[in-house]
Amino acid sequence: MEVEVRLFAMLRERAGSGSVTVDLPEGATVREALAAVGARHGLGELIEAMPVVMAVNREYASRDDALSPGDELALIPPVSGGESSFRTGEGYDQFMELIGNHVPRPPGYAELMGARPLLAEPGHVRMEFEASDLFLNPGGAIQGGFLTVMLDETMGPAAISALGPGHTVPTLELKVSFLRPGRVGRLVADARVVHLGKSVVFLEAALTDDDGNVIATSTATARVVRLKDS
Amino acid sequence: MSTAVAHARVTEEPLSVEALARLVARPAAGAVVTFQGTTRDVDALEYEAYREMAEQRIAMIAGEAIERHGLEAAAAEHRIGTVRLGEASVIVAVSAAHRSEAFAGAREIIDRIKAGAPIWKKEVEGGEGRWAEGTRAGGDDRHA
Repeated sequence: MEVEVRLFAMLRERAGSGSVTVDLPEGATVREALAAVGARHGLGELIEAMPVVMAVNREYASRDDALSPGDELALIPPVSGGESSFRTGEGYDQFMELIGNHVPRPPGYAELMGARPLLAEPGHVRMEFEASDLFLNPGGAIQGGFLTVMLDETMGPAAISALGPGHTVPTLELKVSFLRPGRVGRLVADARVVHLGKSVVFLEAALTDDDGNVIATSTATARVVRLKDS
Repeated sequence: MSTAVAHARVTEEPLSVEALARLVARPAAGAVVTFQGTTRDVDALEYEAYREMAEQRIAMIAGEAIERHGLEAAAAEHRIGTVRLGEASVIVAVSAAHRSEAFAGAREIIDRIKAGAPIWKKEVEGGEGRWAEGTRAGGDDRHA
């Protein structure tokens, strides 16, 4: 089947056209269509170099989705306003200065958790998270592991903020008390360093919902590791 | 099910946040929050959109914000073509009974439009254009 694929932005410019036509076998997948577009007009390199997605009939499609004749296909390059939500936290600058600029790489799951730094000062970090309905257990409450991630991902930065650049803090022990069921929406974790020793750091954190109810509390102990090449 | 209607538009024309605020005015709304994103630091931005999908996407985002935050109404518009320094490229207006829902709804709408609507921008400085680096489109579908 012949299908027309619409192109935008840098892909459109490279191809010199707003659309290309590709010939695909019946029942071809989005992945095959992408490969076929890549093989034409020198677009392959450009497509491989960036996280493109394909839209089928104006909905974002997975690469395994099968195509039908008459489908409206479009190749969607990365959207330029797609600012990571992490950057929109009101404590972002403080967080980056104290913590973010000193870690080897930001965790990919920060985006999944809808993490945003609200406040960062030495020994004290507050983070906002967005609990998605994908985090619900069969009982309709946020699965405790996700709440634990929120607490842990706030205590870790709190420890780093007290230690300064060039440290990492692998968790040795972590305890969580689940006080109330977590619901979909905004949750705020507040973490503090309780005691900073030479080789271990003691931490505590609380997770609250938008109404100020405490959902979970946690204490943790982490090892203080100095990174060599800093 | 809410009876509130979401308004979405992608247009070459200049945007008016005042007109959008009038569009969401409701007798039951004690709060109206508006947002406008403006071109900064460069001479101009050139926006390009997959227009049909962008409008559909923005309408969906605004509709979901109405449901999620119990808004009275929500509206958003994105400009395409050349948007000069200081001019608005995207505007959002929402109304709700109280300010907390209104702020939360407006915030969610603008964040999701920026992350999920198929719209691209080219920074134009001294006659030279450069596509802004971006992130994978639709990456916020955890909301959907």
